[in-house]
Amino acid sequence: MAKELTPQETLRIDLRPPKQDWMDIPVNIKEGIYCYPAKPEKIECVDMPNAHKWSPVEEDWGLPENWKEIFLEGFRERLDKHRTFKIFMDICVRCGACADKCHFFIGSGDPKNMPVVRAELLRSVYRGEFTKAGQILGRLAGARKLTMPVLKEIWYYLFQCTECRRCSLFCPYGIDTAEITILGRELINLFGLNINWIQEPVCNCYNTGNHLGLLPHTFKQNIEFLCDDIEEFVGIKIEPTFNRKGAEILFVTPSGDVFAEPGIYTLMGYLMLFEHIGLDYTWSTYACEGGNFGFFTSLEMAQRLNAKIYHEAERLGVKWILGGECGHMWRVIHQYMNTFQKPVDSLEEPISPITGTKFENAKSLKMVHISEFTADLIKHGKLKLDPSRNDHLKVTYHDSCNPSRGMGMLEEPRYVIKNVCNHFYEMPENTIREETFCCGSGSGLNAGENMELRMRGGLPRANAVKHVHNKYGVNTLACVCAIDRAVLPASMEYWVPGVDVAGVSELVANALIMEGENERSVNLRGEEIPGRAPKEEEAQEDV
Amino acid sequence: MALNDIIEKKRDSIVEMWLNTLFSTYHPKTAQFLENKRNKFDNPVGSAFKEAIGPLFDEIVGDFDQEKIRQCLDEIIRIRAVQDFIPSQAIGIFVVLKDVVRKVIPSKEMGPEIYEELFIFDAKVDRMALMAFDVYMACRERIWEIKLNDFKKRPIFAEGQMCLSYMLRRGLKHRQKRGEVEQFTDIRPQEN
Ligand code: SF4
Ligand code: SF4
Repeated sequence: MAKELTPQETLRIDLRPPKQDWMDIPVNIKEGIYCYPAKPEKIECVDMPNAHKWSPVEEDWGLPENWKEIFLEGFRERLDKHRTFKIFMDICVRCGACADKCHFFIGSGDPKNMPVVRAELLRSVYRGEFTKAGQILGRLAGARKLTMPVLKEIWYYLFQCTECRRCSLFCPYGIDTAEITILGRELINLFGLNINWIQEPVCNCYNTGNHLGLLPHTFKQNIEFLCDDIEEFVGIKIEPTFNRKGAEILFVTPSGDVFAEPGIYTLMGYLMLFEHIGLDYTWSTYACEGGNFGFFTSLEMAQRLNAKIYHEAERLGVKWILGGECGHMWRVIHQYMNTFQKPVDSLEEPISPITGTKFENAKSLKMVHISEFTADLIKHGKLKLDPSRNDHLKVTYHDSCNPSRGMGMLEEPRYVIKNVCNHFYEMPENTIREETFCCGSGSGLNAGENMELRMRGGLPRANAVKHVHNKYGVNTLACVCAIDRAVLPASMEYWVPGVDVAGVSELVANALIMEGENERSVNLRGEEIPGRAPKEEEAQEDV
Repeated sequence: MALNDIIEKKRDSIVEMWLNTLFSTYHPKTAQFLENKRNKFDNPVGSAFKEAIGPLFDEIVGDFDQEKIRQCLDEIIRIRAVQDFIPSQAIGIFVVLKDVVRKVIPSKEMGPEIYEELFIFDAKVDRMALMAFDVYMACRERIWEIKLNDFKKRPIFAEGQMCLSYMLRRGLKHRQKRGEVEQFTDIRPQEN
């Protein structure tokens, strides 16, 4: 007969998880958290090694027999090549200052998502395989050997880090876990373990210049569709040029803005802004991707994909380059492009043709951020604006990790928003500017299959939005990043229904008074603007 | 003593014990963080739990306003529904309240005279647990809905190719408006 439980026993449900140290808790790879593996042909397309079919939840990952050697050799190479990496492996004192600063830890509660532990996953192998102390003392020195379960664990958590660098802000030694993740991902790419959401854009970008693999005529066609939309909603016809030699400025933006909502409204914003000021610029169907998923694969791949921007600028003979709203695109440009690429002699120090402002900060890069450019236009009174068209919006601003922490651009987008919207509210200060919380889906983790992970990672940001939503009725989350625009809507749908996501340039364009425009009763999304319904309709309704 | 009097007297310790049980469903290091980090924005999960669990308890022993209970449950479950819990772990924490309350009843009071009230209390906890199940399912369904929307809204990586149907549909709309019947060519990159 079955053992009968006493009423007390029946009620005593034990929900406590194992208490062990993280190193003793085996990794449990779960659906909803990981992204699907890269397709072999997408790996082959850029000559990366060991393209093969595999699944993270299966025992055998199809690695070459000498995978350990490859990994350790790659590890050693990178320790020599990147002084920071070596230092980060050596100097962490495990003080824990970074531990609770990661959005993935905060949202998931999984101790392996503490930045210090994330780094320890690799560091323990470093100690166990490369240091005397680790080899002698083993576990006592926090060391372990590289085994298949260890590799699986490293892989799983490398793709639970958005390389946002929030943790590094709080580390007294400036240890940058994002950089450890970047190099860790390089290592797993030595035997074909990338995720498809990163690999496919890399392959496409390499082949056609943009993540989606849009061919030149499609790229052009898509932008023309958006011009059609502008014609319908604003009543003006815009005819942008493509690959035009001799244009003064080359404009490069993430291709996400060319095809996906709500990014397309931001792109319509760029089109209108440039039309408004009569800018002599051109689009390129070759350098048609500002984003760079190569950065999430390896630094070498980032460099390869980044090269086209200067190439194209040189080929078209432009004076300088204007860049659209993107996050990691700007991290790559701001922190790597200067050393990735040879300087292009034909480019000049950027000067705004409208205001005459010299962008001295872009002296060596020759590339200016659209928010800097727009802020300068507004400051000089060059834009005709009617911010009341945005009066139905209560706006807050999400600092994307890369523009804020990566390049220090904090004021310009705020200045722009405050000039085109009358209702702006900041989120709490420990969630914005340098301390901003990641959207939760950066660094190539903006796939669909890992939605649970994205929701966990997005929680701290959403929580701050919820606060201003409840307190001030905020209904619009503005940002200057294409990944933000792609992923924050989902996060809002789950955590803070009633908040929409908009690019800053979209808000600008909605406020722009264009020459020859219609009554502007609808916004760039084709939605009626409250209080601006056309007169005749009102009259009809009254009857 | 009647159960209600005991509960009233021990309200704070019940709520605290329940909250601690909730925290103890996380790794001890996480539990420590959830419990101790005060700032609401640095510690949204711990704060949400702390803010929801007291009012939830009061509503159960008080008016049992279903809408208020649902709101409190939502605050907690929306988070746990995306964390590393299997369903029974995610909402088991609500059933545990029966045990928590029994622990604060002094053993000398535990007798037939209290059973009827205890029976009613348990029934309320059961109702809350059923509501928790509904909230949990709604959250999980929401996730799937969002996944689906995410796939539908933008060009997706379908079987190794990008699906451009979204922009094509958009373009078609304009051409139809203008009365152009032009056909679209397949503009996707051709495999080999
Ligand atoms: S870089 Fe960002 S995601 Fe990665 S560990 Fe640090 S805080 Fe977390
Ligand atoms: S804050 Fe720096 S030193 Fe302290 S545990 Fe984190 S990485 Fe290590």
